[in-house]
This record gives sequence, structure tokens and C-alpha cells, in this order.
Amino acid sequence: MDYFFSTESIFALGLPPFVILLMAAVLVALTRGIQQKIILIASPIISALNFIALPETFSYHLQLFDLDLEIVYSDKLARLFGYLFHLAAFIAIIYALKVKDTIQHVASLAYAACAIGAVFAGDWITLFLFWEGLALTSVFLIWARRTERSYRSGVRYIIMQVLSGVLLLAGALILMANNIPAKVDALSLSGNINDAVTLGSWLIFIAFGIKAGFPLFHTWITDSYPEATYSGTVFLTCFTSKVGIYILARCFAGTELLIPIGLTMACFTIFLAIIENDLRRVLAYSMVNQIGFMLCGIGVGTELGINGTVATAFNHVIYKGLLMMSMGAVLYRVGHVNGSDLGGLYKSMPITTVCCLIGAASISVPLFSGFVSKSLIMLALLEANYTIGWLILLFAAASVFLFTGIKVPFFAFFAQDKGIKVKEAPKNMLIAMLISSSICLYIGMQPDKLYQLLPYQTSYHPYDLTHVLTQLQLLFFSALAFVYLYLKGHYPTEIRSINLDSDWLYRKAFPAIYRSICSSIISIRHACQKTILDLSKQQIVLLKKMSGPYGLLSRGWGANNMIFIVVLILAALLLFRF
Amino acid sequence: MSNQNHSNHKPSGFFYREEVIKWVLRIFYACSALLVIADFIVHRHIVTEIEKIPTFYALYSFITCVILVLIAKWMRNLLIRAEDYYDKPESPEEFFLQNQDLALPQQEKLTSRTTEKN
Repeated sequence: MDYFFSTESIFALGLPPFVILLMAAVLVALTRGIQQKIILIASPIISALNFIALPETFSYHLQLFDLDLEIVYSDKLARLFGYLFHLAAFIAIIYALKVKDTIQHVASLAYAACAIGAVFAGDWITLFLFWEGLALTSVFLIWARRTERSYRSGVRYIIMQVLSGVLLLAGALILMANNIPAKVDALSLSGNINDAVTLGSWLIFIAFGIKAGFPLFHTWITDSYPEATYSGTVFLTCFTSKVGIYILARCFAGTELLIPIGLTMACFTIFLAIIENDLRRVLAYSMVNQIGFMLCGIGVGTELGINGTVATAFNHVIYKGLLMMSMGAVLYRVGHVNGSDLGGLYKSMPITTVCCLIGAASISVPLFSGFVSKSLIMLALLEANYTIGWLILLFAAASVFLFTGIKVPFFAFFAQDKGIKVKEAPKNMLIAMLISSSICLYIGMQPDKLYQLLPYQTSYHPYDLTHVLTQLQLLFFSALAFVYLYLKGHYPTEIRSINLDSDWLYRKAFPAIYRSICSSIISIRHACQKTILDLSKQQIVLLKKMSGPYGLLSRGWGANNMIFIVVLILAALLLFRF
Repeated sequence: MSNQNHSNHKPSGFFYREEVIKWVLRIFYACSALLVIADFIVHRHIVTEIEKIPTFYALYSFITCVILVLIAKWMRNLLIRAEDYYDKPESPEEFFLQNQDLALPQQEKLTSRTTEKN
């Protein structure tokens, strides 16, 4: 049911869900010290209270000149993400509480506000504004690391994000010019690409795809997330790509193209993650892998598939956030997260270790959150007869446990003892991690609480004997493969290095091509200049010769010669007359 | 960094004792074996044909993971680069800043001067 509110009565129901966080961002910029911290902690709580009081389905309209903007549209799907983003913001803010950098606090609050705004955007223009807001606020979390590397990475990140925004705007304008209502709604990619509406839909699809990290576009995730600050990455993990998933689920549910895209993302990342040394980058790859699962669910498009995607997104934000937090704590204490130089940290950071293990188990171990959500997607694929796709995802599920569930905690906290002596993570970080850990366990043990929030009714029971047994077999034998390879010495050792990914294209190949084109243009220019200069030099020499003191052109002409020429002309005339 | 400082460090702690490692592995192997045995006892309900293979999930998981790691290890030979691979200045502006003679060759100035003199 849609309610219509004029701008005067916009406060009748309560504030739009994003407003409080946005205001808090301004207040945080103006305050310091203890007041700042109070505002930081209070803002997600007050915003959540305001949000919970709002009805499930409603919309706010705002008249801007002759444009009717639906700045808030809420339904069950959006509401779930509303809860999720408030929760994630709260946990991440606690985690980042001790950061002494106002820029980061302001950016992260505004970033959370934009993510919530984008989820509840009812029309394309509002969505575009929040879309760009997401990009502009989040990039400061990368730049806040204040290194040359993070600066460059942030620039690449913002270019990618703004590209997505521009494509979204172009697509939306094409749709609106063709009298399609500006409402954010289901779009179809089938149809002739020459048709303007289909073209618009494709542009929007690619724009969403960039945010969701489609293959080749995924590099903004794996490139920038490990370069952000230890707390910035936690915020980044929670919002941008999940907004992409949400909006794809809303607009492109049932688009079969998403299945091969999702499968590709779930697979190729595994190979890169296994040989990656930076553990936060391993988590970033694992994130792309998990987004692949979610895209498959959207591609199937059945109620089960969408439910699976949304539930996975929910759990993923919490447990990937938890893993990022534990690695952030290591980064904060040790100064780096290179697998090659870590090991034995469980002795000095025991609570962080336990939290990291809970996050790792939440990927798909029974009794933890991932187990109850990912199986929905797997079942949706099977029920829709995508057996090959199911097999590929099964492989991805087994191996993601290998490289995230085992590799990350193993190389950071166990493995070879490097004798690193540090303190346990600060209290606020531990509290944030413990909250996330308890949510992971709670959802894993009480899946119905999550299922009630899903957009469609579900009667799925994850804890039947077959499911638990098969899942345990999958995980134990994945772990067995790790143990076997590790003991035999076949497991790739962690080496201080980086590995090429598709960002090599725009970081090395394209600049190299550009340089070679530039230098060939320059050398052609030089060749032309040289030829012209040589020619003119010859001309000058010739002229000098001709008009020099004894040159042909500068000789004097005597009267004798003149008379001789005149006589010659007269003679010639006479000759022609007769 | 740290492992250079502590290369002579002797590992100590509960999880580095040999007998602990041994027992952890034994329990782990026993669990894996139990899961395989359970597969023959429990009647799994099946959606696709391929699931009918006994201990399908265990076999599939183990084999694919081993193959995956071996492929990844081989792939690393092609993809590995030094840590500062991307840090070398190679943006066009910097490239030309470093190679100014390419952008504005000395020769050009010299020739123009000689022609002026002539």
C-alpha cells in the first residue's frame, strides 16, 4: 500500500531513515572528544529507533520543481536491508570509536546514511544521488590511510564508482525520456539493444554490476579494500557491494545472465585468493566469491533464490565484517597483515583469534550463520535444474572454506610461530567483534528469526540430517585437503609478493599502450620537424648562395645587357609577325 | 620484517607442542572417517542423480580442493610479481617528467638556434 505525503507532512510518520545519520555526520564534524563519541554511538541507535517505528510499506514524496521525487520507498525487501545497515553501522562505529580522525568518522556516518538512502530510494534520480554519495563518502575511508599507495588506490576506486554513477544516470535518463516511470522497479534486458528502453536497462545493469563487483570490475574491491584504514575497511565491507546486491535483486531478479556471471565470480577468485599474501585482500577475494553466490540466487529469481540471496547478504555483512575486524585488529597491533610475516598470534590475541574463528566458521559450518543462508541458494539452483551451476557452487563452497575459513585464521594466528609479541586488541574492538560473533551464532542457531524478515515466506529447515551430514563432509574433506597438502608441502607458501589481476589492464597495460602511442606520435612529430627544418635549411643555404655578394640574383644588370634583351624581344616579335 | 628479527625464535605455546598437534590431527582424522561411515548408515534424500554416488560430497570436496590448490600453485608462477611492482612511477605525466628529453628534445632547440644565427 502506498501512502502519499506532501512535503509539509513529511514528518508525520517519522524522519526518512537516512536523515538522522546524515545529521549526526554534520554534528560529528563540529564536535571533538567525548561529545563526538557520544554522538557516534547514539546516532545509529536513534536512527534505528526512528526506522523501527516506521511502517513496513510506505513512501515519501518530495516535489522538486516539476520533478516528483520518491525519496523513500519501503517494502519488506528494503526493510531487511534497513535493519542490516543500521546494525552494521552500529557495530562498525563501536569498532572505530578510538580512531582519532574526525574525517573518518564523518565519512563513515555519511557513508552509512547514503547506503540506507540508496536502499530506500524510490526513483532513479534519488538513487543516483545516493549512489554518488556512496562513492564520494567512502573514498575518504581509503584516503584516510594517508599513504601514497592508498591515495592512488582511492583514485582508481572513485573513478570506477563514478563510472557506475554516470552509467546509472545515463540509463535512467534514457528510460525517463521514453516515458518509463522514474520509479526504481524491475527492468528487462531481453529485447533489441537498438531499442532505447533496452539500452537504458543495459546501462543500468552495468552500473549495478560495477557496484556488485562483476568480473573485471571486481578489482575496485580487491584493490582498494586492503588499502583502506583498519576500521575503514569494515565500513566498506558492509555497504557498497551489498547495495549493489540489493538493487540487482530489486530490478533484475530472474535475469539468467546473472548465473554465469555469479559462477565466474565464485570460481576465479578462489585461485587468486589461495596465492594471495595480504590477508585482507584474501578476504576481499572471498567477498567477491560470496557475491557470486548471491548473484546466482538473483539469477534464478525464484522466491527461494531471492530469499537465499537476501539471507546470505545479511549474514555476509556480519561475518565478513567480523573477519575484516579481526584482521583490522591485527593490522592495528602488528602493523601489517601479510600472511608471510604473521603466525602464532593466538597467544597474544586470544579473543581476536576466537572471534576470527567464529567468523571463519560462519561461512558455512552448521550452527553458524552462513550454513542457514547459503543452502537456500544451492537448493534454489537445484530446484530450477541448474545442476552444473550447483556443482560449480558446491566446489566454490568447499574451497572458500579452504582459503577463508582455514587459511586466514591459520596463517595469522597459528602456523609457524614468528614470536610476535603484541597486546590484545583494544576493548572497543573486542566488544564490536563479540557482538558480531554472537549475531553469527544466534542466527546459526535460530535461523527462523532471520527467515521471518525475508521478503518471501519460507518453510525451509536447514537442520535436517542430510544437509548437516553433507555439509560436514564437504567442509571436513576440504580441511583434509588442506592438511594433506600442507603436511606434504604442496600448499603454496606465503611469499611477500603481489599477484596480477585484471587491474593489471588499467594499471599497466593501458598506460603502456597509451605511452607507446604518445611516444610514437612524438617521434613522428620530431621526424616531421626535422625534415621541415632540414628542407628550410637547404632553402636558406640556396637563397644565401643566390643572393650573396656574388649570387645570381644580386648581380647588377648593365645597360648593354638590357639593350641586348630588348633587341632580342623585337627580333622575336618580327619573326612571329611574318 | 618480523620473521627476520625473530628467525631464531623457538616456537612455544599449547598449539606448538608436538603431542597436541598429533592429537588434534588424530581427532580430525577420526571425525572425517566417522563422516564417511555415517554416509553409508544415514539415508540421504537426494535431489540430483550425481548425489547417489556414495560419499559424493566428501570425494568431490577433497578432489576439487586438491586440484584447485595445485592449479593455483602453478598459476602463481605466471602471476607473481614483486611487492612494489605497481609502485614504480609509470603514470604518463611521471613518465614524461622523468624522460623530459623525449617530450622536448634538445636537438630541436639547437637547430632553431643555428638557423637563427645563419
